Amino acid sequence: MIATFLGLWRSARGSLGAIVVTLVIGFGLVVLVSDDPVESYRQLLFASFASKANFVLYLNRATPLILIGLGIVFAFRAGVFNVGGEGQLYMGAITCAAIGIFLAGWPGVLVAALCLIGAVLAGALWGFWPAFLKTGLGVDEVVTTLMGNFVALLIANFMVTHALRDATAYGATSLMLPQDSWLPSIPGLPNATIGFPVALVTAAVAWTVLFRTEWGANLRAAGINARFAETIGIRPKREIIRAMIVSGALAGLAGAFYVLGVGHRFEQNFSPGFGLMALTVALLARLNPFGVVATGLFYALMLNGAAYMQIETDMPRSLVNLLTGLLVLLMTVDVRRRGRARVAA
Amino acid sequence: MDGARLKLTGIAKSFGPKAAIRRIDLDVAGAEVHAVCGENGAGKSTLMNILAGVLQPDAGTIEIDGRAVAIPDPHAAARLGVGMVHQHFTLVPSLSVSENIYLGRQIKRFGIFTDRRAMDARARELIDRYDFALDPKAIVSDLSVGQRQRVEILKALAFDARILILDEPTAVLTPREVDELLAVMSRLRERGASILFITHKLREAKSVSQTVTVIRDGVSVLRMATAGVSESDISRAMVGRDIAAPLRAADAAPSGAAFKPVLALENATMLSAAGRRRLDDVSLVVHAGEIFGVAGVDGNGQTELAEAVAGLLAIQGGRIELEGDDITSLSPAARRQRGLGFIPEDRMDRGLGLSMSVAENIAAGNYQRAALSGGGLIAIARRDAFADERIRRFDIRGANAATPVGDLSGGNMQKVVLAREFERAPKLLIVAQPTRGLDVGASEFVHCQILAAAERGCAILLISSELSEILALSDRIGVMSQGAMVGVVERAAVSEAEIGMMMSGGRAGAAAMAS
Repeated sequence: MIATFLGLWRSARGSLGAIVVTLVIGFGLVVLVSDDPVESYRQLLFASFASKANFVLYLNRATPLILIGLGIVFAFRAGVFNVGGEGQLYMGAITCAAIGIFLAGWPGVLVAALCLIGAVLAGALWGFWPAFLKTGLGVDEVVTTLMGNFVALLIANFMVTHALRDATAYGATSLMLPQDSWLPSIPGLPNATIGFPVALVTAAVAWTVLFRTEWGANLRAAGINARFAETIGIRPKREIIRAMIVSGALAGLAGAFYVLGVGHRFEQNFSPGFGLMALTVALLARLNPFGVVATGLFYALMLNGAAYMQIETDMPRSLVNLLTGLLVLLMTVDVRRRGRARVAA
Repeated sequence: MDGARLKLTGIAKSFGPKAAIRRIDLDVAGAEVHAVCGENGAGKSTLMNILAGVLQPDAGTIEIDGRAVAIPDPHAAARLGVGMVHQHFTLVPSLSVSENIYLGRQIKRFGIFTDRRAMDARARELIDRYDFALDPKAIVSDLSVGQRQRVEILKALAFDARILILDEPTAVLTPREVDELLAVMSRLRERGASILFITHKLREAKSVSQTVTVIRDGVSVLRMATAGVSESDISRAMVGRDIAAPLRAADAAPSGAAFKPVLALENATMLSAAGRRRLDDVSLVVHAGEIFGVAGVDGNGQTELAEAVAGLLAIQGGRIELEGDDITSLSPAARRQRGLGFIPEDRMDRGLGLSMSVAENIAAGNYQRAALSGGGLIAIARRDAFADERIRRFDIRGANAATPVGDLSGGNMQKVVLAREFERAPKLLIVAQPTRGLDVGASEFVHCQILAAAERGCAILLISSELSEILALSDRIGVMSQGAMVGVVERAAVSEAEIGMMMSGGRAGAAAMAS
């Protein structure tokens, strides 16, 4: 047990160190620019916890990052570079909205259930076809998943403007879903999507599946060395397809949680780029599901705090882009240092 | 002559509490090939890194041409005429041969522009002087491994190296390239170079060197003229005990009712995309408890044969039977289910997941059989105990259950593969190049394990380009040439020379032998 914790600590140490150093350097930058650096930083880091409403917004931003990030962990562990998180998210969200709107009048619980199932399937489909093309025809998944993002966004756009549009609202916004199909909030935190605790549970499940089941072992073997996997009787192609289905399904679920639990409708610009951010979240977490929770929370904190910082002080929110870039840089530095240490030993 | 060209006395080097080298003496007289032999981990590479200026010794002196010298860094080594050719190449694949040779010290025009023409000309001169058959303008990524190695050697020679260190240069080469390299080494010696040839392959050391120094556990234990020692003398000095080269008894193969066929290939044919016959009408039978050796020069269809039987490559004609059942179209998983084990020729490629732990590698494919998982969940404690037991039994050194396999040495990696495949108690075991890159001790262990498996009644298809290995272990020997099985002979009825003739002569050679 102690050994497990030590191991966890050792693998987390580098990431935590990078985050601390990033924040320290970031503070130096703020001192240079801002008239009131302490207040700026306080807003960035702590405004998310200043009120219940702020905290709710924070959790609602962390939820999709964690869920999509977990999906990306599956894909990467199977050796697939899935950069299609955004598209899978949109497919989930628009399918969820469409089902909810078309089935208005049905019992709410049933509608919600069908919405969730539909979103998961739509996301899974958007993970499946690039995997199918990769394993069947050798089409590079980076190209297909990336292009798939645009296709998904355009499909969603078409659906929302032609079939689901709320004519009274401004922009590409769908009708509201019937209120009885909305997902409940976290008890005590009105408007905080129940998706957040679900994401936490999903992380634990994902870790168990990847590191404590035979399927997980096979999937990782296929990702590490497909020729090795094949030799010991694993079918790498099947593992790739399965991993991509899980990957897409989790992103689709994130879309459903947004529509059913946060927006209660589909808005074309609901994602500030969660899909791509989740890619960084997963990589910074070194493809560890628990790590994804930590880095997802950190990214959401930056994303959320930046808004308050910009409103309350003279610091522009683009500081956050700088900080996240710096973080990525520092994480890579750490990897290299470790590599060298091993050579010397 | 008193002035040995290179003389090391009492060299020692520790890394923390671990002594890598304890006391090494070495002297190289003049132009000679000096073999430095030792098992993996004996301290050969540390010693050479000291000579190349990469590491500093804790004690001892280095003399070059009778003068005591210090070698604080690789540049100093180069100035002293010591050139190092590393086992892993340090070439830039996208640059030409001449650009690589002069990398970092390009010939400049006006002090700015690289003078490519002058570099090509100088490289050409160098290549001609040593008769290397290289094009100075060729791009390195287009060259074969053997050619790249020659570029690496030229890089050292361009610095006017008089003492050339070759660190296990043959490990990456095919047998034919090995022969070429040995010839190159002799030529370099004739032109006045001293060569330190680090190797654990005794045959190579014996064939090319004039003097041999053996290192064991960081101490130089033997220095003799090569002509005066036998291979077994060298191996005894390396390991510190007699190596009883495991040998298959002549009457070991079962007979009578026990002699039932396990693997049968009938006219197996595999075509490449271009229509070339990679396997050409191969038929063979391996019986229970029998070791069937497949000899042949590398690249004559042995890899294809192994992978066709394992189910990794499809055959376009013929059939494969396991215990009388047609398995031609079965998946690798289904074949393994029926009792097939496979030790692939490249353990880093097909054999292991390098970044996975030892426990995961041993357990892979054995979860059900060894009851390491229940209801899909892996019982981690049971899996690790299972791995620990195998680590002990197979003497996998420097490992615990959680060690990434990639951190182990080649011999210990191979033992992990053996541990996994033997766990299956296979009825048929395909063993391809089982001791490639392994030192004497590890090879002995692997050979003993193969013999023990045959004793248990396992049918073994042993594929190796080391003829001595085939002859020591096999009951019957098949010789492959250009994808075809050109002859099958009883081991007792054939000599090494005869098999060599079949290997090189193809069908014609085999026919000549039969007549």
